[in-house]
Amino acid sequence: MRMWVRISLAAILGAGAMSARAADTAAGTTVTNVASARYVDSGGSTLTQTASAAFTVQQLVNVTVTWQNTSDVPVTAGSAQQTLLFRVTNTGNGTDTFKLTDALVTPGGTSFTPSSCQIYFDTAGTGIYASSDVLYTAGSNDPQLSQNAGINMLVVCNVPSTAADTALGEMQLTATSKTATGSFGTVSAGAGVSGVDAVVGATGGAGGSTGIYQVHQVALAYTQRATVTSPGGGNRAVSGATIEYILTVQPSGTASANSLVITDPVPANTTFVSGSILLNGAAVTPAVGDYNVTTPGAVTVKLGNLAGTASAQVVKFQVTIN
Amino acid sequence: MKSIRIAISIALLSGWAFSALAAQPGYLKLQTVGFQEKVTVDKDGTKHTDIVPADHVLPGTEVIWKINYEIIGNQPVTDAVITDPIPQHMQYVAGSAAGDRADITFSVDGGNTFATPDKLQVKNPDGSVRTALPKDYTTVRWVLKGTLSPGAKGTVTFHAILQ
Repeated sequence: MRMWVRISLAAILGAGAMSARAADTAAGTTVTNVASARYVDSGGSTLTQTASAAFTVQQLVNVTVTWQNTSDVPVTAGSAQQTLLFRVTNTGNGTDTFKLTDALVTPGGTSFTPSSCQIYFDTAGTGIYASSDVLYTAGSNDPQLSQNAGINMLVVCNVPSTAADTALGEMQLTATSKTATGSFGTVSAGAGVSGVDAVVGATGGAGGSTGIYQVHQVALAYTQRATVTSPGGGNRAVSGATIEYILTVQPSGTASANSLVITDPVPANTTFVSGSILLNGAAVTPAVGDYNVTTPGAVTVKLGNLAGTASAQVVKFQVTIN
Repeated sequence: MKSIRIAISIALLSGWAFSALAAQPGYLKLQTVGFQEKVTVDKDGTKHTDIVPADHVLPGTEVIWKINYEIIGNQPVTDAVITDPIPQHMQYVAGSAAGDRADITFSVDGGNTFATPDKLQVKNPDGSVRTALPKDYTTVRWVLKGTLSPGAKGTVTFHAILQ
Protein backbone atom coordinates (compact mmCIF):
# COMPACT_ATOMS: atom_id res chain seq x y z
CA MET A 1 0.00 0.00 0.00
CA ARG A 2 1.35 3.36 -0.97
CA MET A 3 -0.17 6.23 0.94
CA TRP A 4 0.31 9.86 0.17
CA VAL A 5 -0.54 12.23 2.95
CA ARG A 6 0.08 15.90 2.73
CA ILE A 7 1.14 17.38 6.02
CA SER A 8 2.65 20.65 6.98
CA LEU A 9 6.13 20.04 8.20
CA ALA A 10 6.57 23.57 9.38
CA ALA A 11 4.12 22.88 12.13
CA ILE A 12 5.51 19.47 13.01
CA LEU A 13 9.11 20.37 13.00
CA GLY A 14 11.25 23.06 14.37
CA ALA A 15 13.06 25.26 11.93
CA GLY A 16 15.95 22.85 12.17
CA ALA A 17 14.16 20.31 10.07
CA MET A 18 13.89 22.57 7.04
CA SER A 19 17.16 21.32 5.73
CA ALA A 20 19.21 18.36 6.69
CA ARG A 21 22.53 18.99 8.36
CA ALA A 22 25.59 16.86 8.81
CA ALA A 23 24.33 15.84 12.22
CA ASP A 24 20.95 14.66 10.97
CA THR A 25 20.16 11.25 12.31
CA ALA A 26 20.30 8.72 9.51
CA ALA A 27 17.04 7.42 8.09
CA GLY A 28 16.15 3.98 9.40
CA THR A 29 17.83 4.54 12.76
CA THR A 30 15.87 3.17 15.71
CA VAL A 31 15.75 5.60 18.62
CA THR A 32 14.84 4.00 21.94
CA ASN A 33 13.82 5.66 25.16
CA VAL A 34 14.21 3.52 28.28
CA ALA A 35 12.74 5.01 31.45
CA SER A 36 13.17 3.39 34.81
CA ALA A 37 11.49 3.75 38.18
CA ARG A 38 12.94 2.84 41.53
CA TYR A 39 10.70 2.71 44.54
CA VAL A 40 10.21 1.11 47.96
CA ASP A 41 7.25 -1.15 48.52
CA SER A 42 5.30 -1.59 51.71
CA GLY A 43 7.56 -4.41 52.78
CA GLY A 44 10.60 -2.15 52.61
CA SER A 45 12.06 -3.69 49.47
CA THR A 46 13.58 -1.44 46.83
CA LEU A 47 12.30 -2.42 43.41
CA THR A 48 13.02 -1.24 39.88
CA GLN A 49 10.85 -1.09 36.79
CA THR A 50 11.84 -0.15 33.28
CA ALA A 51 9.70 0.65 30.27
CA SER A 52 10.86 1.54 26.82
CA ALA A 53 9.45 2.97 23.62
CA ALA A 54 11.11 3.36 20.25
CA PHE A 55 10.60 4.99 16.91
CA THR A 56 12.20 4.79 13.51
CA VAL A 57 13.78 7.80 11.87
CA GLN A 58 12.08 8.70 8.61
CA GLN A 59 13.91 9.67 5.46
CA LEU A 60 13.94 13.37 4.69
CA VAL A 61 14.48 13.80 0.96
CA ASN A 62 16.53 16.84 0.01
CA VAL A 63 19.03 17.60 -2.72
CA THR A 64 20.96 20.66 -3.78
CA VAL A 65 22.75 21.47 -7.00
CA THR A 66 25.29 24.28 -7.06
CA TRP A 67 27.16 25.69 -10.03
CA GLN A 68 30.83 25.45 -9.19
CA ASN A 69 32.56 27.77 -11.67
CA THR A 70 33.44 30.94 -9.81
CA SER A 71 32.58 33.19 -12.75
CA ASP A 72 31.09 32.97 -16.22
CA VAL A 73 32.92 30.32 -18.22
CA PRO A 74 34.72 32.06 -21.10
CA VAL A 75 34.13 30.45 -24.49
CA THR A 76 34.71 31.38 -28.10
CA ALA A 77 32.16 31.17 -30.90
CA GLY A 78 32.23 27.84 -32.68
CA SER A 79 34.05 26.04 -29.88
CA ALA A 80 33.02 22.50 -28.92
CA GLN A 81 32.58 20.61 -25.65
CA GLN A 82 32.69 23.56 -23.29
CA THR A 83 32.14 22.69 -19.63
CA LEU A 84 29.88 24.01 -16.90
CA LEU A 85 30.77 22.35 -13.57
CA PHE A 86 28.05 21.51 -11.02
CA ARG A 87 27.96 19.69 -7.71
CA VAL A 88 24.98 17.55 -6.73
CA THR A 89 24.70 16.98 -2.98
CA ASN A 90 22.31 14.68 -1.12
CA THR A 91 21.25 16.91 1.76
CA GLY A 92 18.70 14.40 3.03
CA ASN A 93 19.40 11.88 5.78
CA GLY A 94 19.47 8.71 3.73
CA THR A 95 20.90 7.22 0.58
CA ASP A 96 19.05 8.42 -2.50
CA THR A 97 19.34 8.17 -6.26
CA PHE A 98 18.94 11.17 -8.48
CA LYS A 99 17.79 11.72 -12.04
CA LEU A 100 19.59 14.55 -13.79
CA THR A 101 18.28 16.84 -16.50
CA ASP A 102 19.73 19.85 -18.23
CA ALA A 103 17.66 22.67 -19.64
CA LEU A 104 18.27 25.85 -21.54
CA VAL A 105 17.79 29.09 -19.67
CA THR A 106 17.40 32.22 -21.75
CA PRO A 107 19.15 35.15 -20.16
CA GLY A 108 18.30 38.76 -20.82
CA GLY A 109 20.47 40.80 -23.16
CA THR A 110 22.74 39.36 -25.80
CA SER A 111 22.58 35.60 -25.60
CA PHE A 112 23.33 32.44 -27.50
CA THR A 113 21.89 28.94 -27.33
CA PRO A 114 24.37 26.27 -26.23
CA SER A 115 23.89 23.25 -28.48
CA SER A 116 24.40 19.48 -28.35
CA CYS A 117 24.52 19.59 -24.55
CA GLN A 118 25.23 16.39 -22.65
CA ILE A 119 25.78 15.57 -19.01
CA TYR A 120 28.95 13.81 -17.96
CA PHE A 121 30.38 12.49 -14.74
CA ASP A 122 33.64 14.22 -13.86
CA THR A 123 35.36 10.85 -14.08
CA ALA A 124 38.76 12.37 -14.73
CA GLY A 125 38.29 14.73 -11.79
CA THR A 126 39.50 17.73 -13.72
CA GLY A 127 36.33 19.82 -13.55
CA ILE A 128 36.36 20.24 -17.32
CA TYR A 129 35.36 17.78 -20.01
CA ALA A 130 37.92 15.07 -20.70
CA SER A 131 37.56 12.20 -23.15
CA SER A 132 37.60 9.69 -20.29
CA ASP A 133 34.58 11.28 -18.59
CA VAL A 134 31.59 8.94 -18.54
CA LEU A 135 28.42 10.08 -20.27
CA TYR A 136 25.36 10.30 -18.03
CA THR A 137 22.25 8.59 -19.36
CA ALA A 138 19.03 9.08 -17.41
CA GLY A 139 17.69 5.86 -15.97
CA SER A 140 20.91 4.05 -16.76
CA ASN A 141 23.60 5.43 -14.47
CA ASP A 142 21.70 7.80 -12.20
CA PRO A 143 24.09 8.74 -9.38
CA GLN A 144 23.37 7.21 -6.00
CA LEU A 145 24.55 9.34 -3.09
CA SER A 146 24.69 8.53 0.59
CA GLN A 147 23.70 11.08 3.22
CA ASN A 148 25.61 14.34 2.73
CA ALA A 149 27.60 12.91 -0.18
CA GLY A 150 28.11 14.96 -3.32
CA ILE A 151 29.26 14.36 -6.87
CA ASN A 152 30.63 16.69 -9.52
CA MET A 153 28.78 16.64 -12.82
CA LEU A 154 29.60 18.40 -16.07
CA VAL A 155 27.21 19.97 -18.54
CA VAL A 156 29.12 19.98 -21.82
CA CYS A 157 27.85 22.06 -24.75
CA ASN A 158 28.95 23.43 -28.08
CA VAL A 159 28.96 27.15 -28.80
CA PRO A 160 27.42 28.16 -32.13
CA SER A 161 29.75 29.92 -34.56
CA THR A 162 27.29 32.81 -34.73
CA ALA A 163 27.63 33.65 -31.02
CA ALA A 164 28.57 37.29 -30.55
CA ASP A 165 31.25 38.68 -28.30
CA THR A 166 29.98 39.06 -24.67
CA ALA A 167 26.86 36.95 -25.41
CA LEU A 168 25.70 34.78 -22.49
CA GLY A 169 24.59 31.16 -22.71
CA GLU A 170 22.93 29.56 -19.71
CA MET A 171 22.14 25.95 -18.82
CA GLN A 172 20.41 24.66 -15.73
CA LEU A 173 21.21 21.28 -14.21
CA THR A 174 18.43 19.75 -12.12
CA ALA A 175 18.67 16.72 -9.84
CA THR A 176 15.42 14.99 -8.89
CA SER A 177 15.12 12.39 -6.17
CA LYS A 178 13.98 8.97 -7.30
CA THR A 179 12.80 8.25 -3.75
CA ALA A 180 10.19 10.97 -3.32
CA THR A 181 9.25 14.25 -4.90
CA GLY A 182 6.35 16.63 -4.61
CA SER A 183 5.41 19.46 -2.36
CA PHE A 184 7.17 19.95 0.94
CA GLY A 185 5.87 17.35 3.39
CA THR A 186 4.59 14.79 0.93
CA VAL A 187 4.94 11.37 2.52
CA SER A 188 5.80 8.40 0.36
CA ALA A 189 5.06 5.45 2.60
CA GLY A 190 7.78 2.85 2.74
CA ALA A 191 9.79 4.43 -0.07
CA GLY A 192 12.83 5.31 2.02
CA VAL A 193 15.90 3.35 2.99
CA SER A 194 15.11 0.13 4.86
CA GLY A 195 11.44 0.67 4.00
CA VAL A 196 10.95 3.74 6.17
CA ASP A 197 8.63 6.48 5.00
CA ALA A 198 10.23 9.08 2.80
CA VAL A 199 9.15 12.66 3.36
CA VAL A 200 9.80 15.39 0.83
CA GLY A 201 11.90 18.13 2.37
CA ALA A 202 12.11 21.83 1.73
CA THR A 203 13.71 21.36 -1.68
CA GLY A 204 10.70 19.45 -2.96
CA GLY A 205 12.96 16.51 -3.67
CA ALA A 206 14.68 18.35 -6.49
CA GLY A 207 17.40 20.93 -6.78
CA GLY A 208 18.71 22.98 -9.66
CA SER A 209 21.36 25.51 -10.46
CA THR A 210 22.17 27.56 -13.53
CA GLY A 211 25.63 27.83 -15.03
CA ILE A 212 26.70 30.57 -17.40
CA TYR A 213 28.97 30.70 -20.43
CA GLN A 214 30.13 34.00 -21.85
CA VAL A 215 31.59 34.46 -25.30
CA HIS A 216 34.90 36.28 -25.30
CA GLN A 217 36.27 37.01 -28.77
CA VAL A 218 39.01 39.14 -30.13
CA ALA A 219 39.02 40.58 -33.65
CA LEU A 220 42.11 41.96 -35.37
CA ALA A 221 41.81 44.62 -38.05
CA TYR A 222 44.94 44.63 -40.21
CA THR A 223 45.93 47.46 -42.54
CA GLN A 224 49.03 48.08 -44.57
CA ARG A 225 50.21 51.12 -46.46
CA ALA A 226 53.46 52.23 -48.00
CA THR A 227 55.17 55.54 -48.68
CA VAL A 228 57.89 56.01 -51.27
CA THR A 229 60.69 58.53 -51.02
CA SER A 230 62.80 59.10 -54.14
CA PRO A 231 66.57 59.75 -53.83
CA GLY A 232 66.25 63.28 -55.10
CA GLY A 233 63.03 64.02 -53.24
CA GLY A 234 59.51 63.30 -54.41
CA ASN A 235 57.81 59.94 -54.26
CA ARG A 236 58.56 58.20 -57.50
CA ALA A 237 59.29 54.47 -57.23
CA VAL A 238 62.62 54.55 -58.98
CA SER A 239 65.81 52.59 -58.35
CA GLY A 240 67.34 53.74 -55.08
CA ALA A 241 64.02 55.00 -53.72
CA THR A 242 63.07 54.04 -50.17
CA ILE A 243 59.70 52.39 -49.41
CA GLU A 244 58.41 52.53 -45.85
CA TYR A 245 55.78 49.94 -45.04
CA ILE A 246 53.37 50.76 -42.20
CA LEU A 247 51.44 47.81 -40.81
CA THR A 248 48.70 48.46 -38.29
CA VAL A 249 46.95 45.84 -36.10
CA GLN A 250 43.84 47.12 -34.32
CA PRO A 251 42.43 44.63 -31.77
CA SER A 252 38.84 44.70 -30.51
CA GLY A 253 36.67 42.52 -28.29
CA THR A 254 36.89 41.11 -24.80
CA ALA A 255 39.40 38.30 -25.30
CA SER A 256 43.12 38.31 -26.00
CA ALA A 257 45.03 37.32 -29.11
CA ASN A 258 47.91 35.31 -27.82
CA SER A 259 51.37 34.79 -29.31
CA LEU A 260 50.53 37.17 -32.11
CA VAL A 261 53.18 37.30 -34.87
CA ILE A 262 53.23 39.57 -37.90
CA THR A 263 55.11 38.35 -40.95
CA ASP A 264 55.54 40.46 -44.06
CA PRO A 265 57.68 39.28 -47.03
CA VAL A 266 60.03 41.87 -48.44
CA PRO A 267 59.02 42.46 -52.10
CA ALA A 268 61.15 41.18 -54.94
CA ASN A 269 63.73 43.59 -56.32
CA THR A 270 64.03 45.41 -53.03
CA THR A 271 66.61 45.30 -50.25
CA PHE A 272 65.68 45.43 -46.57
CA VAL A 273 67.13 48.45 -44.76
CA SER A 274 69.02 47.07 -41.80
CA GLY A 275 67.76 48.26 -38.41
CA SER A 276 64.66 49.88 -39.86
CA ILE A 277 62.04 47.85 -37.96
CA LEU A 278 60.06 49.98 -35.50
CA LEU A 279 57.28 48.84 -33.21
CA ASN A 280 55.08 51.69 -32.05
CA GLY A 281 57.88 54.08 -32.99
CA ALA A 282 60.72 52.34 -31.14
CA ALA A 283 63.45 50.17 -32.56
CA VAL A 284 62.94 46.48 -31.86
CA THR A 285 65.36 44.08 -30.22
CA PRO A 286 66.32 40.97 -32.21
CA ALA A 287 64.07 38.94 -29.90
CA VAL A 288 61.02 40.92 -30.99
CA GLY A 289 61.68 41.71 -34.67
CA ASP A 290 64.02 40.53 -37.38
CA TYR A 291 64.48 40.22 -41.11
CA ASN A 292 65.33 36.91 -42.77
CA VAL A 293 66.01 35.12 -39.44
CA THR A 294 62.68 33.82 -38.15
CA THR A 295 61.17 33.80 -41.63
CA PRO A 296 63.38 33.67 -44.74
CA GLY A 297 62.93 36.72 -46.90
CA ALA A 298 60.44 38.34 -44.57
CA VAL A 299 60.16 40.76 -41.68
CA THR A 300 58.82 39.07 -38.54
CA VAL A 301 57.56 40.97 -35.49
CA LYS A 302 56.33 39.14 -32.37
CA LEU A 303 53.58 41.14 -30.72
CA GLY A 304 53.01 38.57 -27.96
CA ASN A 305 49.67 38.56 -26.14
CA LEU A 306 47.40 41.33 -27.22
CA ALA A 307 44.21 42.16 -25.32
CA GLY A 308 41.13 43.15 -27.25
CA THR A 309 41.18 46.41 -25.36
CA ALA A 310 44.78 47.26 -26.31
CA SER A 311 45.56 50.19 -28.55
CA ALA A 312 46.61 49.75 -32.18
CA GLN A 313 50.04 48.22 -32.77
CA VAL A 314 52.06 49.88 -35.51
CA VAL A 315 54.99 48.14 -37.22
CA LYS A 316 57.18 50.04 -39.67
CA PHE A 317 60.12 48.91 -41.79
CA GLN A 318 61.95 50.15 -44.85
CA VAL A 319 63.29 48.67 -48.08
CA THR A 320 65.13 50.25 -50.98
CA ILE A 321 64.33 49.57 -54.60
CA ASN A 322 67.19 47.79 -56.38
CA MET B 1 -11.13 5.42 13.49
CA LYS B 2 -8.27 7.64 14.45
CA SER B 3 -8.50 6.86 18.12
CA ILE B 4 -8.45 3.17 17.37
CA ARG B 5 -5.31 3.57 15.32
CA ILE B 6 -3.59 5.47 18.08
CA ALA B 7 -4.54 2.90 20.62
CA ILE B 8 -3.11 0.14 18.51
CA SER B 9 0.07 2.06 17.98
CA ILE B 10 0.52 2.62 21.67
CA ALA B 11 0.07 -1.03 22.33
CA LEU B 12 2.68 -1.82 19.72
CA LEU B 13 5.20 0.77 20.75
CA SER B 14 5.04 0.84 24.45
CA GLY B 15 6.68 -1.57 26.74
CA TRP B 16 4.36 -2.29 29.58
CA ALA B 17 6.69 -3.48 32.22
CA PHE B 18 5.42 -6.04 34.60
CA SER B 19 7.46 -6.98 37.59
CA ALA B 20 8.18 -10.49 38.59
CA LEU B 21 6.66 -9.38 41.87
CA ALA B 22 3.40 -8.44 40.15
CA ALA B 23 1.33 -10.66 42.33
CA GLN B 24 2.48 -8.92 45.48
CA PRO B 25 0.69 -5.86 46.80
CA GLY B 26 1.91 -2.42 45.92
CA TYR B 27 4.01 -2.30 42.84
CA LEU B 28 4.59 0.47 40.36
CA LYS B 29 3.63 -0.11 36.75
CA LEU B 30 5.55 1.98 34.22
CA GLN B 31 4.90 2.86 30.58
CA THR B 32 6.89 4.98 28.16
CA VAL B 33 5.21 6.54 25.14
CA GLY B 34 6.41 9.01 22.50
CA PHE B 35 4.16 11.46 20.71
CA GLN B 36 4.57 14.09 18.02
CA GLU B 37 2.38 16.82 16.64
CA LYS B 38 0.99 16.26 13.21
CA VAL B 39 -0.74 18.95 11.21
CA THR B 40 -3.03 17.63 8.52
CA VAL B 41 -4.23 19.95 5.81
CA ASP B 42 -7.57 19.05 4.28
CA LYS B 43 -8.37 19.59 0.64
CA ASP B 44 -10.24 22.76 1.59
CA GLY B 45 -7.13 24.06 3.36
CA THR B 46 -8.33 23.52 6.91
CA LYS B 47 -5.54 22.56 9.27
CA HIS B 48 -5.89 20.04 12.06
CA THR B 49 -3.23 19.54 14.68
CA ASP B 50 -3.21 16.08 16.14
CA ILE B 51 -1.01 14.47 18.72
CA VAL B 52 -0.01 11.17 17.20
CA PRO B 53 2.27 8.39 18.35
CA ALA B 54 5.88 9.01 17.42
CA ASP B 55 6.40 5.80 15.55
CA HIS B 56 8.12 7.36 12.56
CA VAL B 57 9.93 10.62 13.12
CA LEU B 58 11.78 13.07 10.89
CA PRO B 59 15.03 14.73 11.94
CA GLY B 60 14.26 18.05 13.60
CA THR B 61 10.99 16.84 15.05
CA GLU B 62 10.16 17.52 18.68
CA VAL B 63 9.05 14.33 20.39
CA ILE B 64 6.92 14.45 23.52
CA TRP B 65 8.02 11.64 25.82
CA LYS B 66 5.50 10.60 28.44
CA ILE B 67 6.26 8.16 31.23
CA ASN B 68 3.05 6.93 32.86
CA TYR B 69 3.03 5.24 36.24
CA GLU B 70 0.33 3.54 38.24
CA ILE B 71 0.34 1.92 41.65
CA ILE B 72 -1.10 -1.55 41.33
CA GLY B 73 -2.23 -3.61 44.32
CA ASN B 74 -3.56 -2.57 47.69
CA GLN B 75 -0.45 -1.26 49.42
CA PRO B 76 1.30 2.09 48.90
CA VAL B 77 4.82 2.61 47.62
CA THR B 78 7.28 5.28 48.70
CA ASP B 79 10.52 6.91 47.59
CA ALA B 80 9.65 6.56 43.93
CA VAL B 81 12.20 7.99 41.51
CA ILE B 82 11.77 7.92 37.73
CA THR B 83 14.90 8.30 35.66
CA ASP B 84 15.04 8.68 31.89
CA PRO B 85 18.27 9.05 29.90
CA ILE B 86 17.80 11.40 26.93
CA PRO B 87 17.68 8.96 24.00
CA GLN B 88 20.61 8.80 21.64
CA HIS B 89 20.29 11.21 18.67
CA MET B 90 17.97 13.43 20.71
CA GLN B 91 18.40 16.74 22.50
CA TYR B 92 16.44 17.88 25.51
CA VAL B 93 14.14 20.87 24.98
CA ALA B 94 14.78 23.53 27.62
CA GLY B 95 12.04 23.86 30.20
CA SER B 96 10.03 20.94 28.88
CA ALA B 97 10.29 18.50 31.79
CA ALA B 98 7.16 18.35 33.92
CA GLY B 99 5.41 16.10 36.36
CA ASP B 100 2.91 16.41 39.20
CA ARG B 101 4.32 16.20 42.72
CA ALA B 102 7.80 15.70 41.26
CA ASP B 103 11.09 17.38 42.03
CA ILE B 104 12.81 17.53 38.64
CA THR B 105 16.57 17.52 38.25
CA PHE B 106 18.96 16.81 35.42
CA SER B 107 22.30 15.18 34.88
CA VAL B 108 25.10 16.13 32.53
CA ASP B 109 27.28 13.14 33.45
CA GLY B 110 25.18 10.19 32.42
CA GLY B 111 23.17 10.03 35.61
CA ASN B 112 25.91 10.02 38.22
CA THR B 113 24.91 13.39 39.66
CA PHE B 114 21.74 15.45 39.37
CA ALA B 115 20.97 19.13 39.92
CA THR B 116 18.54 21.84 38.90
CA PRO B 117 19.41 23.66 35.63
CA ASP B 118 20.86 26.71 37.40
CA LYS B 119 23.36 24.55 39.25
CA LEU B 120 24.37 22.27 36.37
CA GLN B 121 27.83 22.99 35.10
CA VAL B 122 30.04 21.56 32.40
CA LYS B 123 33.69 22.07 31.61
CA ASN B 124 34.75 23.79 28.44
CA PRO B 125 37.61 22.30 26.44
CA ASP B 126 39.90 24.96 27.92
CA GLY B 127 39.06 23.85 31.45
CA SER B 128 36.80 26.74 32.34
CA VAL B 129 33.34 26.00 33.66
CA ARG B 130 30.02 27.18 32.27
CA THR B 131 26.35 26.62 33.03
CA ALA B 132 25.10 23.57 31.19
CA LEU B 133 22.94 24.01 28.11
CA PRO B 134 20.01 21.74 27.29
CA LYS B 135 22.17 19.97 24.71
CA ASP B 136 24.49 18.91 27.53
CA TYR B 137 21.74 17.15 29.46
CA THR B 138 22.08 13.38 29.53
CA THR B 139 19.34 12.36 31.95
CA VAL B 140 16.11 13.63 33.46
CA ARG B 141 15.03 12.56 36.94
CA TRP B 142 11.71 12.96 38.70
CA VAL B 143 11.65 12.39 42.45
CA LEU B 144 8.00 11.72 43.36
CA LYS B 145 7.29 13.23 46.74
CA GLY B 146 5.45 11.45 49.48
CA THR B 147 3.58 8.19 49.49
CA LEU B 148 1.90 6.86 46.38
CA SER B 149 -1.41 5.28 47.38
CA PRO B 150 -2.89 2.20 45.74
CA GLY B 151 -4.47 3.19 42.45
CA ALA B 152 -2.51 6.41 42.24
CA LYS B 153 -1.44 7.23 38.70
CA GLY B 154 0.43 10.02 37.06
CA THR B 155 2.59 11.09 34.17
CA VAL B 156 5.96 12.71 33.96
CA THR B 157 7.08 14.15 30.66
CA PHE B 158 9.77 15.92 28.70
CA HIS B 159 10.34 16.97 25.11
CA ALA B 160 13.37 16.18 22.99
CA ILE B 161 14.27 17.02 19.41
CA LEU B 162 15.52 14.39 17.01
CA GLN B 163 18.84 15.52 15.63
